Amino acid sequence: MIEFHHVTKKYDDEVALDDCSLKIAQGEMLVLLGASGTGKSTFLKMISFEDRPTSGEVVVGAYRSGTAKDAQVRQLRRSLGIVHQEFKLLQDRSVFENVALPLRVAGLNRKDIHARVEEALERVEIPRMGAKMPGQLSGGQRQRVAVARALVNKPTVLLADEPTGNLDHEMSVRIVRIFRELCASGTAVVLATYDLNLIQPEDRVVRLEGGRMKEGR
Amino acid sequence: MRLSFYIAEAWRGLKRAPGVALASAFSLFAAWVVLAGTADALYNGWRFVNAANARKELIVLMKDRSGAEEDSTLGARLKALDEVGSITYVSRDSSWAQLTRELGAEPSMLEAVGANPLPASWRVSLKPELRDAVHLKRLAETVRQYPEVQDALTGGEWVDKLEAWVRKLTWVGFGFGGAVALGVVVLVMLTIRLSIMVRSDVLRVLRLLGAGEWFVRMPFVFEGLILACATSILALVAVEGASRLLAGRWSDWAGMPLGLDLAFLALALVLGAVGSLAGSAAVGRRESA
Repeated sequence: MIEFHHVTKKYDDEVALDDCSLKIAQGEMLVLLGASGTGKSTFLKMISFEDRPTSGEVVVGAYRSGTAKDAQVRQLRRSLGIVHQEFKLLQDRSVFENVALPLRVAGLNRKDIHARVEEALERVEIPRMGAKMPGQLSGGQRQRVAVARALVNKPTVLLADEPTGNLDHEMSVRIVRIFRELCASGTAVVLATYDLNLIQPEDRVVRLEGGRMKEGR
Repeated sequence: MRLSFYIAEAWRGLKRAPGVALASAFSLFAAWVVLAGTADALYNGWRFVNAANARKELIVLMKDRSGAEEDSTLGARLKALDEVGSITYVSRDSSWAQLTRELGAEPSMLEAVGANPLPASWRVSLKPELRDAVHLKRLAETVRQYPEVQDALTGGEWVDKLEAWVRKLTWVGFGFGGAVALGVVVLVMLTIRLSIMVRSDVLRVLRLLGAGEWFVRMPFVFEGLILACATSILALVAVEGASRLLAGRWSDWAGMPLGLDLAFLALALVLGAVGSLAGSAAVGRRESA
């Protein structure tokens, strides 16, 4: 599903990822551990082709970072769900419209959009909040909206960058449980976090330190 | 489905930077007023020329001593010509009577002339669709060749001069209108570029969601179309209002006909579309660094 082949990413002289190689299978959950600035976000950007490796190659499904054209990158991203650390919610539209955006990009009809947005909002436990604007929500609620937007298009790969940073422990556990349910249905999940309490024994853990990757906790 | 989304996004874009939208709308409105005002003035210029041309007629003077038979033969020949709409016979006596009426205050002049020197004549009007200087002159040249005809007078040279002036002004108007239209395109283009900068957060999210180039661009295209359409309608209303004020003072003045209004709106939409397509050309293409 996802393969890193000797991936190195440099920003000027700073090395964000250093010779990283790994494979993530369909339906697998990979927990990416590491302190701030260790390359977790860069790792996720490599998978969404938001950034390309300085050397090495990332393969996601049928798409290769070395050769993918813009049209292919768009196709890839429509199959991803991304939860950003800073939410990236659009402040000038309602919660419903924020969550519906991936479905509008995919060209779904009004009825399907409505049903799937409602389902996603219920899943992250903020039903009946569709009409609210992001500015009217707490940090935790906004984070759940961001999670709902990532889930709504039933992604084949879910990338979550500190998705529980603004949630209490109980809600964090519930959100991660949703990610595990997605895994069970075949979605590959990459969860970047610093919260060791969210890890379960069966999870595959990769630790990033100074851009270098180490398997295990 | 997507149409309503594009329109809603375009409206959001306008609301996002109301200062930019208002400044742009005001500038566009001014440009449209100039364009529509020029079009209205030229329309009225041509209307006046056409009305003057429609009143022009050919006066065919018979040779001296022509008899009633020759007069009626010529009348039949004139009537048979393709360009001719109607003809009216003016006898020597009628011409003399008219001259007497016109010079009523100076009867001594007529007494000095003595016998009636005026020839009989035919007043010839062209068919309505052929009433212009070119057809009138062509007909005069044809008629002058007839043996019974002394001369054929077109008259109304001032109308020809006016028509030449209006034609020149029309070309100037087209040149000026072209420059203003180019300005409109640039204005819409710059407005869209500003709008793109203001909505960079939306574009970033759309790119990350895999939105296609046209999905990203269309709201900006609609934004340009909404601006162009709304401001051109307002400008037409303003020019029509000004036209009515002028018509109140000068009865020959008229507002633009519906067809010209619709053509103006179509032009506004085309210019708005060109400007917004040019303004949004760079957006939505590159997907990654």
